[in-house]
Amino acid sequence: MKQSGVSAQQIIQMISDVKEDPACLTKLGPESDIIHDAGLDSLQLIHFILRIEDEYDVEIDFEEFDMDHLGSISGFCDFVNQAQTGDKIQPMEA
Amino acid sequence: MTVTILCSGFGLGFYTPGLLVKAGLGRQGIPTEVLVFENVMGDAQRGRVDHSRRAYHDDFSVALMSQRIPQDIRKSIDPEQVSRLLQQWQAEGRRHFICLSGHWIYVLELYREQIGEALDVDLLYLDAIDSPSWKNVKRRIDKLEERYNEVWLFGHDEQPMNTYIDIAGSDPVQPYAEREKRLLVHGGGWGMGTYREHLDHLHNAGFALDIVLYEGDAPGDTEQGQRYYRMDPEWRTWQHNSEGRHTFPPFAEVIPGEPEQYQLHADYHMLCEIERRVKAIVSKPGGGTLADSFASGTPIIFLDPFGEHEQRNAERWEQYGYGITYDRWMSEYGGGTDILEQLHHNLLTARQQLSPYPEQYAARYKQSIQQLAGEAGQ
Repeated sequence: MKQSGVSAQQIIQMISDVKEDPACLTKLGPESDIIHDAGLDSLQLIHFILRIEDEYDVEIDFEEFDMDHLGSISGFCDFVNQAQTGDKIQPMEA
Repeated sequence: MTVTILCSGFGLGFYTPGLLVKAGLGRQGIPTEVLVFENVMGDAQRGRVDHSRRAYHDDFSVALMSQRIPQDIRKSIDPEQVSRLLQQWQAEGRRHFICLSGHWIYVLELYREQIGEALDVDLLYLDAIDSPSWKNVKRRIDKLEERYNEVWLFGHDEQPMNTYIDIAGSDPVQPYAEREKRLLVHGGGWGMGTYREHLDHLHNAGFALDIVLYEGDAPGDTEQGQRYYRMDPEWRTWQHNSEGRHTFPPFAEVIPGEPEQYQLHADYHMLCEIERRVKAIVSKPGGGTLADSFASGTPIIFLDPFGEHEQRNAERWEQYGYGITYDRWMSEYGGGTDILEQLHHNLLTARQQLSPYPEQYAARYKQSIQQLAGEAGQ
């Protein structure tokens, strides 16, 4: 079933599942960087994005996507939530 | 002067055509060296490439997502390996390169800055539009076409095909009437895509099948003329043989109950021998498959593409009249051979009008060498 709205805790749980590392649940917080702090490698990032798209019924356009959205879990939550509501996502960089 | 052919192991389509070019230039008396991008990557990163291969085979949605997420390959480059390589190139005075993968552009740009001279580089594109490695590098480095020579093997926009990569022993092409009523079914070098879903349907259309298995995949029935093949699961594009050279993949027929006897040919992938004698290749529209299709005069029945560039490959091949989508072949032509024979003849006609890329390159190379010698004598 598709979910509406994503929380930082749900993202952290998803990262923990993808990495098969329960320590993520205590190590990561809303300000953690999804690539560097969570340490997702390229294959894990693929699985993570696939789950996001599937569970939250969004399709990320990587031609437009600013990778800085992965700079914090809370920032990525905002991105997914806005994508779900169809709001225009503002670029992270001016 | 050695021509350096820059390949990548991210897909066999960025590798085997490079070895075919090497073989072709060898027949023209031109010295060459093939390098594979994974050899300038760190060990850990190379290990991840290997891990990804399996994941892409197991789940096509993972492979498709990998195409969508932009990657910065510079993070995977080992600076020490690159430094050693550039020193060697400079010591040998290397100036001629044929580049099949966008990943190498960062290394070529470093070399160009290091020696402070222009290089003679062919960017040999093996897709109808930029594949992800080219797309990613062109986001970061502008106007490659101003300093490098672009060769779109399958044509580009309004420019039709004007060359192809020939395969030793593929000429003359085997006449269609002499070919068995068989289809070659595979998922490219990494065994990706939907090819396994169509085997029963293809068989029911009246074809015997030659099926390429991936790594440890088990062969199925053989009762209705199915034959199975496999590349050596232990082989990797970045490995060298005992003479320090890259080779085509060791390849074997898989006969249930018998040990697999992997064989190599110096000048081509042994899959080519099957491509030459079947009615069509059933595969995703990868660049290496298109190149083989043209060289062998064997049309392609397209399965789902691996990303936008392969979608465009299929569209272009269909537009040229060299291939057809699986769905159209089944729905409009009932899975028959007449349409395939027509596509085969289109391939033959076009092939007779073009000269092979190694021949075209050799002519330019000889001019370039004479020019360099002239400049040195002044």
